[in-house]
Amino acid sequence: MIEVIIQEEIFNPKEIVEKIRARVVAGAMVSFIGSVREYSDDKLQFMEIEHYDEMAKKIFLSTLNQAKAQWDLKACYLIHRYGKLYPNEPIVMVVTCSDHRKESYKANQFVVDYLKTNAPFWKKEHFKKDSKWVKQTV
Amino acid sequence: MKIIYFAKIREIIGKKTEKVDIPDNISTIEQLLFYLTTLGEEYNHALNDINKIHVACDQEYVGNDFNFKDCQEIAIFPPVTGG
Repeated sequence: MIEVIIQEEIFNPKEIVEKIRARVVAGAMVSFIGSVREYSDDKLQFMEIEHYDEMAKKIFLSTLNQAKAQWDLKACYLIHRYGKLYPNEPIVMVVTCSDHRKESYKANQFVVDYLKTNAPFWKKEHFKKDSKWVKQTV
Repeated sequence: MKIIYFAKIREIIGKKTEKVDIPDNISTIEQLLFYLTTLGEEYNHALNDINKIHVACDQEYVGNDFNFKDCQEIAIFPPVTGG
């Protein structure tokens, strides 16, 4: 099972885990959730995420297919949001399933690392008085 | 040629997408980026640091020496920050 979802609406990680567990029988499941961070000194009001939809879908699908083949995964799922997001809301979730935990851990980290440096999404943070584009960190 | 801009580059240029007539003697991405900087101060400001710009031809990353003449759509954007 491979699934890629790019959407504006908030998602519920618990529902996603249950949805995958209902469809996939695997000994191990690893999930990563990336969320909007809060800053204590200069409070973040919200974050805007811009993306290049067609290219993002292509990159996600090829990355998930590569991970599935390399680590013999039972499932590889990725959801990424765009639009206006508020502190603590989930931005991205990657779920990998395999017979044993090592493959799921390695594949999950591979997918997250790859998307951080290649998926065409850009974050802009809006504070009380100003806003700024987030710089790439690997 | 259809060109799409994203994020900070889109903001500085002030356009999300546009069709640009490219002279015949310009064939590589590096030449294209240099040509675009001549279109106005905002282009020069947005695109003057080639090391901080990524380019995709029909949704695939390409390098500065890539020949873009067969591309339907060129996207120009800063380093990505997803995840």
